[in-house]
Amino acid sequence: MQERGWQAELSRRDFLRLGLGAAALPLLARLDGLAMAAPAQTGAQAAATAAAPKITAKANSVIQIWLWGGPSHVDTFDPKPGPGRDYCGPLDSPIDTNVPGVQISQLLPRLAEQADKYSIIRGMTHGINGHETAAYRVQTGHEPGHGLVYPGIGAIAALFKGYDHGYKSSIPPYVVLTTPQGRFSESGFLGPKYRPFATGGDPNRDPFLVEGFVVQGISSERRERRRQLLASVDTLAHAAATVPIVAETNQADENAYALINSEELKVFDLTTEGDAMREQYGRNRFGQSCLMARRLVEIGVPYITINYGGWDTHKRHFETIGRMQPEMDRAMATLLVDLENRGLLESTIVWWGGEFGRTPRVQWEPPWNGGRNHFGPAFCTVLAGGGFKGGCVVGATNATGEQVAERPTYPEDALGSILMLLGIDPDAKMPNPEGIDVPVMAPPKGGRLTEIMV
Amino acid sequence: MHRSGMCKARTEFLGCCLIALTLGAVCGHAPCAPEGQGGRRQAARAAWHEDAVIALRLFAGLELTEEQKAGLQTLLRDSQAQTRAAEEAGGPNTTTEVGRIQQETYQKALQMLNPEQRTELSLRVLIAQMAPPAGQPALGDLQLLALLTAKPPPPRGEQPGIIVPFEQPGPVTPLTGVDNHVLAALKAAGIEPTPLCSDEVFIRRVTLDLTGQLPTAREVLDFLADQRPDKRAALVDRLMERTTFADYQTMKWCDILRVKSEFPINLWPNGVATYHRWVREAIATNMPYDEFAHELLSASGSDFRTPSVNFYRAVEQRDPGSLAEAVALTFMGTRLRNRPDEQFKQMEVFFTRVGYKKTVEWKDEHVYWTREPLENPDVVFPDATAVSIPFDQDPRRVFADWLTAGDNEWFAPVVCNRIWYWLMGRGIVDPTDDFRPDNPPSNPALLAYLASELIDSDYDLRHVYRLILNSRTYQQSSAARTADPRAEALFAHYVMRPVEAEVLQDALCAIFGRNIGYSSPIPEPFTYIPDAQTTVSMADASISSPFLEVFGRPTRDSGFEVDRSTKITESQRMYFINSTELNGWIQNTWQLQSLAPAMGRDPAATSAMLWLTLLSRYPTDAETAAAAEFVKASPTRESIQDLVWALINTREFFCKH
Repeated sequence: MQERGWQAELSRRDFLRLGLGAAALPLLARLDGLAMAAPAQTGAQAAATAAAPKITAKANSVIQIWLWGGPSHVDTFDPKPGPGRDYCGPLDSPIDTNVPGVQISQLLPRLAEQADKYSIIRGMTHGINGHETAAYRVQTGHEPGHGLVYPGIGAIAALFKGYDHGYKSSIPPYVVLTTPQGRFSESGFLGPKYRPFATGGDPNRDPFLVEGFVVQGISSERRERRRQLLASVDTLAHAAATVPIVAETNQADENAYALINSEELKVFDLTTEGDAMREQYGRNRFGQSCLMARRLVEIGVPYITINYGGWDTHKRHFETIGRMQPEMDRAMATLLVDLENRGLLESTIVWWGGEFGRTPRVQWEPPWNGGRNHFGPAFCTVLAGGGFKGGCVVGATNATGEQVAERPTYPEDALGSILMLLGIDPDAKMPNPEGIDVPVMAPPKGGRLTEIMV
Repeated sequence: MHRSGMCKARTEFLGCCLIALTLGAVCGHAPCAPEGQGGRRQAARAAWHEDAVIALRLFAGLELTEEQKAGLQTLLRDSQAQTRAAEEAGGPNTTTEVGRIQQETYQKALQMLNPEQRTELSLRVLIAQMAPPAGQPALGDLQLLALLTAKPPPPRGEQPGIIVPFEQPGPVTPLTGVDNHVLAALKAAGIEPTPLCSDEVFIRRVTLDLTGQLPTAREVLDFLADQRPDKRAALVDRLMERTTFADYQTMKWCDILRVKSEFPINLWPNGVATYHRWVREAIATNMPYDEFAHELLSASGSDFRTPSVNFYRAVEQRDPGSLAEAVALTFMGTRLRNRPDEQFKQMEVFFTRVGYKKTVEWKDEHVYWTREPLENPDVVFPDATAVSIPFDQDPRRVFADWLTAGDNEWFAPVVCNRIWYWLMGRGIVDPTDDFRPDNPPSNPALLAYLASELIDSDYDLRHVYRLILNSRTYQQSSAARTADPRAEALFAHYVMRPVEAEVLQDALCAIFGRNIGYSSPIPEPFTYIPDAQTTVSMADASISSPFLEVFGRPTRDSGFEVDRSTKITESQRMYFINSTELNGWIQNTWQLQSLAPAMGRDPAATSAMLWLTLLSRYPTDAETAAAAEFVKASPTRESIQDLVWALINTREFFCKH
């Protein structure tokens, strides 16, 4: 059953999306009386195979630390104490890192000690100040429009490194800890099959109740008893056994039970890590999500997003980041060290960032009283591991952090680089509703980040 | 069981009072009684009178003799008079005094019963603990129990070729125009249609198809008891008058009209609210469809004050080609990208003079006719008729006039086909938004018939609903007898399919007495969503939940009908089988907790209550036996929870069938 696993056939909707341009295809399917999904599956797989990687993969997995809301670039990895309090507020003393000449925010002391493990991209830009559009832009690498809703990079990884390409695990290939982003469809036109699996629950609580996988208070005996009882009361299923939806549901049930009973679910049991390790990551939702992500990497999950909200700090900015950044600092620094200690950093990309930065000039006036607004013209992102060099700084902003001064990097440049290291050709084609293949990633605008590839 | 304090809602009071009457004395609790002054007391008294009637019904289930009935009536009347007197006397001890009267009444009532009746009553009392106060789960409806015990399940005659309990011998209704066209095509193809669905299946099916809600157990019972030959047609008429009909059909329309506040449609919350309300009002008042389409196609003004202009805002891109594509997809069921014909290419000319402008009001936007002259006003419509667009007319209006003219083949058939698809689960042209010469209707005469009926009724969409719903074709069983793919395309059976994500969520909430509590933290201004609002009635597709995502709710990004996934996935099944949330709801529904002993004593009545609530039908004897046996093996609350789990995991529960 593992062969099917999460790879439900392309849905009817996918099929129609695929078939829009190739008008003959649905007609043929109807004439032949074939199940609608059958030719579509072949079509999609053919398309995906045609786009098979021609680059050598260096990374197996990506951990995306997604700071939903937009973290301030000048208060994290691109500090600007020069222009004074109007810009830096109370954070006027950036600290040295273990890489000579590179300074980061004073709120990130642990990450400062690990700067040789990651590179900072300080010239990120796209100019969009709306959350949803910027989140789409940063995670798909495409400008909005075109009449298409492109998939995010996690769904692309699920397409090219998931069940269509030999991934076998019961754990889905694209996992979100813990809630989906919701504001844009992560899988875009690729449809539900490539949507992330959102765990729900809280990894900082024991047990970590992963929705659908781990449930409290139902023993496996009781689950089996229930299943037998269901068989004795599912009268319509017996009466209409040949109806397609009944057969489809029976198959989905088979697959679901196999997943629920899978040994691999032990990956979600964080209690086996021991208190010391859990403490190092920090006993909070984000810290334990980082630990969970490392465990998922260990079993080969290709793409994990940690959806880390709370960064839309229009008001009480400094109080909020004063509380959150130490939590982030501890967990992310521990993650980098832990991955390296386990020999996983060289095959795991850690990608830190949000949809944009925040206005470098502090809004001291009411009603913000010390807040920062959305800022798309300049921001930063951090890349580590999986074939990215550590200790580098790419690009720069001007003295106030309001403009990119050197080496602008656009989302498609960064995402294209991540895909290259995953062994996915960013210029490959994807199946899409127009029926003609479109490139996975928009062509590089500022240039892919070859300068920091090992 | 005792609830102290003020009884806020009448229904809650009703529950309290009855339980006080039945349980208070038995268990020795002080019954709940009305407190307060004046109006509240008046309301309470009226409630007490009604409760007495229901209490009598509860007793009536015991097969009382005429003498006993008369005695009980007298008793309750006296008790009511005493209560009134006690309340009018007032004073600090009123509550206690009213409680004493109720206990005494109950004791006297018990004395009128013989020992068998008393045993029977104690069972009812147990089940009575499931009485739901206002806003509580559908599981456990005391009034229902009273009815239930008074009405045995309908006899089910076994007949060759009829699958009990899903089918019944027919026809109940005379054959209609729809049936004639469908049966002719089936005959030509040599395919037998399935038998008529049973009344139990019909009420569930039609209530889901029209209102997106499950029928309550009580509605099912009333419908089964109804002996009128035209009761199915009468039910259709009643359902179309419900507010939930407007809510649910609005949801369907908003899928194709792309109602969402954010990326990539970006109507913003205020625009979503006005647009949704306009569509809902049009459906609630049954606006003629030609007016509906004409208004959406030609409106100008502010998105706040002329909500129909949002049609032109609800597009990802605003160039004339994209607008023409949206118009063709929505109203003509046609994908312009598949139509290279010259006359379709020229369609975008009609949308080259659509202007947009912002105003000083935040997020306000006007859609208007720019009045710039057309470079070449001589164009053709999609049917190849030539037209010269007058310089003093909005080209959109010229197009709308053409589209909504009576005999336009691109108009009436398209909407009839959509409604057919919504009700039958498969379009006559399928998919519904891909009309083109090489995707012909599976039954052209049927589509032509529906279209002419729509036109002749002055575009009354409810007329089309009735034509379909009152046909034998709609009322066929879903248990297909053949795997021949033509059977579905020619409508030899009703198409079994999963209920929509929103409908499923609302059904679970109703059963377990839960609210989802949707919220919208961004964008400002925050959208306030009352806790009790149904998922179906929510306007904005940008407000979602993991449940809705998993169960295939459409994104409303594109307006394609297939944007709504009808696929059963592993993750959906895992939610139903193994979800912490859903298991919590089952475990924490206190109404279930006393059912295990009740199941032991009266498996038929207890199973009936569960089946009627969850599957809208009586259980079969085999099902009752299976349920009783399962609970008997381990008469605990866990067993009842497992039974409820099993029932909501049946295909019957989450499919329209």
